[in-house]
Amino acid sequence: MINSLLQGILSFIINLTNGLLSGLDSVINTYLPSLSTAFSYVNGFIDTICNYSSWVISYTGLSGNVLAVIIALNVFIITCPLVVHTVKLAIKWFNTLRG
Amino acid sequence: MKLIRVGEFIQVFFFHLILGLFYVFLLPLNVNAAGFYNITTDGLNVTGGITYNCGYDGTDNDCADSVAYGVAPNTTSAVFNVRQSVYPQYHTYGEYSYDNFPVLLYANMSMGRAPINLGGTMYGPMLAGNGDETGLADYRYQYVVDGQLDFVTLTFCVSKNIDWVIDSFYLPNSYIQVRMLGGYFLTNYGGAYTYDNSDVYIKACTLKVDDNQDGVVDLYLSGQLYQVVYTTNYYQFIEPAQGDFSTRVFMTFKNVGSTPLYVAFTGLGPRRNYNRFTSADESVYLKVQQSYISDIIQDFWQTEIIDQQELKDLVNSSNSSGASNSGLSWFRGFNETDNNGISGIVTSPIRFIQSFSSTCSPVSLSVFNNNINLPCGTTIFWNRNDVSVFKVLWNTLFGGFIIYKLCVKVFKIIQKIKDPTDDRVEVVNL
Repeated sequence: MINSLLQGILSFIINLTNGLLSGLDSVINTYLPSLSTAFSYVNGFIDTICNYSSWVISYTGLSGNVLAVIIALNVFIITCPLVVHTVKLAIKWFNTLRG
Repeated sequence: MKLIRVGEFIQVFFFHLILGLFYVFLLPLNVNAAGFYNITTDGLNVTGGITYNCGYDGTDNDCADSVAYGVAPNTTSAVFNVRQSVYPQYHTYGEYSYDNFPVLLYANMSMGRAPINLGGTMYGPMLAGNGDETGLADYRYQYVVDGQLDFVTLTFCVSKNIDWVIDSFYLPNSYIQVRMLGGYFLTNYGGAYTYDNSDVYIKACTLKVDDNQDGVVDLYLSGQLYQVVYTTNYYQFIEPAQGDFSTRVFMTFKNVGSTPLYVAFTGLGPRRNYNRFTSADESVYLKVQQSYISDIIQDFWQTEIIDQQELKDLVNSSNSSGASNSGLSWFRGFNETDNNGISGIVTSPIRFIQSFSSTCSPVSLSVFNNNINLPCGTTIFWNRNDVSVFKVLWNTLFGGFIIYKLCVKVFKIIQKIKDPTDDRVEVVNL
C-alpha cells in the first residue's frame, strides 16, 4: 500500500514535469531533430541504468522494507521542500506586491 | 545535492527556456533559406518569360511525346503507380521559370509500369488492375510563386472520351493540408490546344510508347502492334497554389470499353495569374477562384461547428463514468517510453529512485556470440538459508546506517522549512 502510494507520487511528479515540458519537447523535436535525438540517447542511457538498478541493489542485500524507507525519504527530500518553499515564495511575492 | 533559492531556480529555468526558444526559432530560418536555394535547378531555363523544359528520362525534350499508358479493355482500372525510384526511366519532368524567377523548380510525373499477366498474356507497358488495386498517379510539384494566387495545372490526353472512361478522380485529404483546398478537373479542352510561346506549350496529343527503350515507339497489346495513337481529348487538372507549394494527385482510370485505352500526361506546370490565362480560361479561372474561397470558408466553419458541438456535448453530458479513469490516468498512463526530451532528463533522478526495487531479474549479456547470464545477488548469496541471520544483521547495520543518514538530512530540511526567511530547496545534480 505504502509502496503503491510512493510510486503514485513519483509518477505524478514525472507526469506533471512531462506535461509542463511537453511543449518545449515538441518544439525541439520539430525544429531541432538532432538535439531531440541526442536527448533520446541520454534518456536511453538513463533508462539502461535504471533497468540494472534492481540487479545492483540485489547485491547490497537490502530488504524491501529498507528500500521502501529509502525511497520514501528521498521522495520527501525532493518534493516537500520544493512545495513548501514555493508557497513561501508566493506569499513573499504577494506581500511585496501588497506593500 | 546542493542548495539554491527558488527564485534563482526560476530565473535560471526561464533564462534557458528563452535561450532555447531563441535558437529554436532562428535556426529553422537559416535552414529554410539554405534549403530553398539548394533545391536543384539542373536544366532550368531562366531566359525570361515562362519557359518550359521537360523531357522523358532526359532523352526526349518533347513533352508531347510523354509516355502513353495502355489500359486493357474490360479491366476495372488502370493503375498509375508510384515507382519513382524503381522505374526512374519512366519519369517525365518539367522545370519552369518566369522572368528569371523559378516558379516551378521541380515537377515530377512519375508513373511506374510493370508487366502484368492478363488472361495469360503479358502486357508490358500496362498496369491494369484487377479491381482490388487502388489506381493512382503521383504528381509532385515543388512550386514557388511570389505570393499571388496562382495555380498548378496538369494536362493529359486520353484516347477516349473521358466522360465515360474515367472512373474516379479523387483527392485524398490525408496527404497534405493543401489537399483540403481541392482541385478542379476541367472538361475536355478539345481540338488543338496551344498556348503562345511565353506560356506552357502543348503540342498535339500523341500517345506513344517506347516499351523496349530502344528509341522505337511501339506498344504491343494482345499481340497487336499499336505504334501511335492520336487523340484530341485533352483534359486539365487545375489547382490553386500559393507559396512554396507541393501537391500530389491520385487518379484512377477505368476502361469499360472493348478497345484499349491510352493515357498520356502531356504537360504540367504553373499558371501565373489572371493575366496569364487566355480569354477561354476566364470562366475557368473565376470558377476555380470562387470555389477556392468557398472551400476555405466552408472548411473553417465546418471545423468551428464541430468544435462547438463537441464542447456543448461535453458540458451538457451528465455521464461521469469516465471521470475516475481520467483522473487516475495521471498515475496509470505513465510508462518508461514516455520519457523523452528534456522532461526525461529533468525527471531522471526521480525515475532512478522509482526504479529501486527488491525484485531482481538476472542480467543477460551477449559477449562474442555467447550469452552470459548474471544472476542476482539474492540468488547466489542473500537468499541462502545459512546467511539469513547475517542478512538481518546486515540490513540492520547497513540499511540502518543509510536510513539514519537520510533521517538526519530530513531533520535538517525540516529545520530549514521552519525558517520563514529561508527559501532554498534541495535539487538533485544531474
